[in-house]
Amino acid sequence: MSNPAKSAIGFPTYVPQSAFGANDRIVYGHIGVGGMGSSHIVGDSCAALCDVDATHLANAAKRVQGKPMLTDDYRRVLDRKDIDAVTIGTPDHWHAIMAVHACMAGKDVYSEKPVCKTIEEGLAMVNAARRYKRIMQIGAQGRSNPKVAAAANYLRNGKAGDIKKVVIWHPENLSSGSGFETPSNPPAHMNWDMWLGPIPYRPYTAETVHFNFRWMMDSGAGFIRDRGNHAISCVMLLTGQDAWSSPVTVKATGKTNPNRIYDAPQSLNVTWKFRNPEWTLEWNQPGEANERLEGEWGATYYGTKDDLILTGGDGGADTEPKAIDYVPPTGGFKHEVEPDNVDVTEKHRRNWRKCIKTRELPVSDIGIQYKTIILPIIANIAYMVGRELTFDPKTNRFINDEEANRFLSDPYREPWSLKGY
Amino acid sequence: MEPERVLGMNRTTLIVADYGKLADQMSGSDSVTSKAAKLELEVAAHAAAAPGQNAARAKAAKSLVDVAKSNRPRLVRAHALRLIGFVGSKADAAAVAGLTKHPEIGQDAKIAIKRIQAAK
Repeated sequence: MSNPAKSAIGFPTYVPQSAFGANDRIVYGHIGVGGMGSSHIVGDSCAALCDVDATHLANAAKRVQGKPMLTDDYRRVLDRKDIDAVTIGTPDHWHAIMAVHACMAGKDVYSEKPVCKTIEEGLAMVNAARRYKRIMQIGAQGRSNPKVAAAANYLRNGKAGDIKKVVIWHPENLSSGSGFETPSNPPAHMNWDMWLGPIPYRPYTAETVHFNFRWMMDSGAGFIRDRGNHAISCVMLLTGQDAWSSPVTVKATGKTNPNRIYDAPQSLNVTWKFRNPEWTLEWNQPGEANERLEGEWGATYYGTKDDLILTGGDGGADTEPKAIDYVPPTGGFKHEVEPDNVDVTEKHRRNWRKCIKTRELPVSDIGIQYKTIILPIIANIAYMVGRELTFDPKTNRFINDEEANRFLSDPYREPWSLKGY
Repeated sequence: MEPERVLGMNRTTLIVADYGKLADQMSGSDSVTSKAAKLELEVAAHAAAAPGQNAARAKAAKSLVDVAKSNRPRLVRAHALRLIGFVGSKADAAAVAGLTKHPEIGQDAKIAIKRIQAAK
C-alpha cells in the first residue's frame, strides 16, 4: 500500500481562504439521509438529497424548502456546481470514497463517524482534504460537548497526574438472538447495488441493512469502530495524545453470535499498549460501568494522582463534579466548544459551518480523527488474525506481519476507486 | 464448533484444518453449521498465515484455491477467494485468474488478486 499522506497528517492550523465571505449562504447536498444523516439536513439551503433508499429520500424531501434534486447516486450531487458542502450519513463502507470524491469536486465535507474502514482510506481522506484545501469535519461530536471539554480541562492541566491507563466499558454489539433470515430480492425502493457499492456482493437481507449494517465486518465492524470512534476520540483528547506517533501494540479477543448472520464479534476485549509516553488503553465489551458515575458506556482515566470518569462522549456525556467545577488556570489548557445554546450535535455542525467560512481546521478535523480511527481498525485486524500486532503510525504499517498488512486496504468492487469517479 | 478468537489458541489443530470439509459444511443448508464453518475457515487460514509458517500458509492457500475453483455455492467460493487475498502468493493469484470473468465470483477473484498484488 502506498503512503500518499505521510506528510499530510500533521496538523496545520490554517488552509487558504476560499471564495466564501462572512455573509455568504452555504448550499448543501445531503448524502445518506436515513438515521443520523437525516439530522444534518439544512431545510432552507439544500440543493440535493441522495439516498439509495427511496423512502429515506421521500421523508427527507418533506423537510426541505423548494425542490431539491433527489437521486440515489452521490456522483450527481458532486457534479452540481452550486453545492458548496456535503454531509455524508451513509453506512461506513461509503464514507471514504464519498468524502475523497467530494474533496475532488471542491466540496467541504461533514462525514459521519466512523471515519473509514481501512488505513488506506483514512490516509486518502486526509490527503484529499489537504490537497484540495477542503474542510472535513468528522461527526465525532464529543469534541463539541461541554462535559467532555470539562473532563479534558481537568486532566490536561494535570489534576490527575500522568494518565497511565484508560478503561472503556461498552455493552455488547446488538447482534444477539437467533435466526437466519432467508435472502430475498431487495425491496423496490432500494438500489441494492448502490447500497453495496465498493464492498463484495452479498445477498440482500433486511437484517443486514440500515442500523444493522454495523454487525457485518464488511460494512460496519461493530461498536468498537462505531461508538469506539466517539469513545477513543475523547480518550485521545483527554490524554493529549491526538498526535501519538510511536508504535502501538494491540491484542484483541472476541466471539460472534453463532445463531445470527452477523460476523462482527458480539463481545470484544482489546488492549492497546502505547510508548512515549507509556500508557494502556482497554476496550471492554461488555464491561462494567464505574459505580461512581453510571452510564451505558464510558471510560475511567487512571492517573498517578487521581482518576476521573467520563460517561458517553458523543452528543451525550457526563463527568464528575470535580471536573465540571474545575476552572482552568490562566494560560492553562482549555478546550473550547461552540458557545451557542444548542444541542451538542448542532454545536458540532456550527463549528464546521464556521470553519467553512474562516477556513480554519474544525474541532474534529480529519487529521485528528484519522489518528483516532487507526486504533479500532487495528483492533479488528488483531481480532481477525488472532494474534498480537504492533502498528507503526509513522509508516502506517504493522511491524513484521505481512498478512496483517494486507488488511490495511480493502480492494473495491468495480468500478469504485478512491482515485475518482 | 464455532471457534472463539482467542490469542494463542491451538494453532496446531487449526493449521491441519480440512478446508474442503469445512467448505462442504459451509455449503450445507443448516445456517448455524454453515456460519461456524465459515468462521473456522477464517480462523484456520489466518492462523496458518502467522509469521514464520510459510509451509502451512502455502498449504492453506492451495486448499482455498481448490475451494474457489470447485462447484460449491457462490458464497462459499467467494469466501475462499477473500481468504486467498490474505494468505495467497502471486502463484495463487495466477491460479484464480481464470475466475475473473466468472459471472458470479469474478469480482471476488479480482479483489483477491488486487490484494495479493498490493502486498509487499
